Amino acid sequence: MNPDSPVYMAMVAWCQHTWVSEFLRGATWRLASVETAHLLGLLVWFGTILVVDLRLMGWMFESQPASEISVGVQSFGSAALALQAITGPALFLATAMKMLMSITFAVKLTLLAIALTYHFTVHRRAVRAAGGAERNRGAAGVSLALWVGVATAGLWINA
Amino acid sequence: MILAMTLLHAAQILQNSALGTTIRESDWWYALLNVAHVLALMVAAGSIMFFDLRLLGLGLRRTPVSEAATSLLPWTWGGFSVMALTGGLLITSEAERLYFNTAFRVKVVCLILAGLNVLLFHVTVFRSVSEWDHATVTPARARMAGAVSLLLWVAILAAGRMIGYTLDT
Repeated sequence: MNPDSPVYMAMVAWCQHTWVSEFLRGATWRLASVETAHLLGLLVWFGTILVVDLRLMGWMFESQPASEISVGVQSFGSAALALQAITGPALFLATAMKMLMSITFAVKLTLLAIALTYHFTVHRRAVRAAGGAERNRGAAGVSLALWVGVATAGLWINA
Repeated sequence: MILAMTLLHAAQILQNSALGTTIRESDWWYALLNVAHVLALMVAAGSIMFFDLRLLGLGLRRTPVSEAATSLLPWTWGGFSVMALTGGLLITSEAERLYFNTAFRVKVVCLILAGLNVLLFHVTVFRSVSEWDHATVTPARARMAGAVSLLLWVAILAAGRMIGYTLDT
């Protein structure tokens, strides 16, 4: 977004006036803690993606069906996603001035929308259908590529 | 005292080396190494995390412990190798400043402790894994190893992130 445009300035002002933004910008350790929590959430979520997709590739847990591995890690994935749903918007409000100008952030959000949609439609069906020793390298490959993309774009914002 | 002087001297030599200078002065290399380092962390910690959770009986409960180990731990080592390589290069570029950085020191101590925890686990309770391979409630020492590993990895992540906040001059 063009930093000189009145729309940009209005949006930044609105975000910065929320109590979440004011609270987080009040002390460095607050922002640092929420960022660390967001990174931890990413780590746990990515971990669940990793084990399920590597199983779908046929590269681990070969004596167990992918659907069963998925059930075994599901609660951690849900918890991580909930953590991201809280820390993500909070970080956005606190750093809106930077994020609204960042192309990398726009790329990340776009990839995130695609990855989440894929995850809860095609990927979920593929995992549930994968009984026995079945593999589904297509679904695993797309899923891994999308989530590595989301993570890379996210890390690149502050790199 | 002599050791500290030697370490600091080594850090200065590293930081002033051609490699260290190249990485430090290139925005591209530094950012690329940083992102690769965290991506590798996600593979290493993301895989060991589920092994630890299996030891604690909190996740993958239907998977035998030995299978969780053979499935997950190679990915932990693979990720860790890339972490060590990218981390080593990142250290080279900022060695002297990192030497004085508290978050970095905490991180190094946690990494050493995590290594000792793995070593201790493998030479003790893991040797008898065939006796508790299918148990949801694993022996106390195994649960202890899992909990210590999880805590240390969270600390490594937090300390690593803090380096980024405290190193800026």
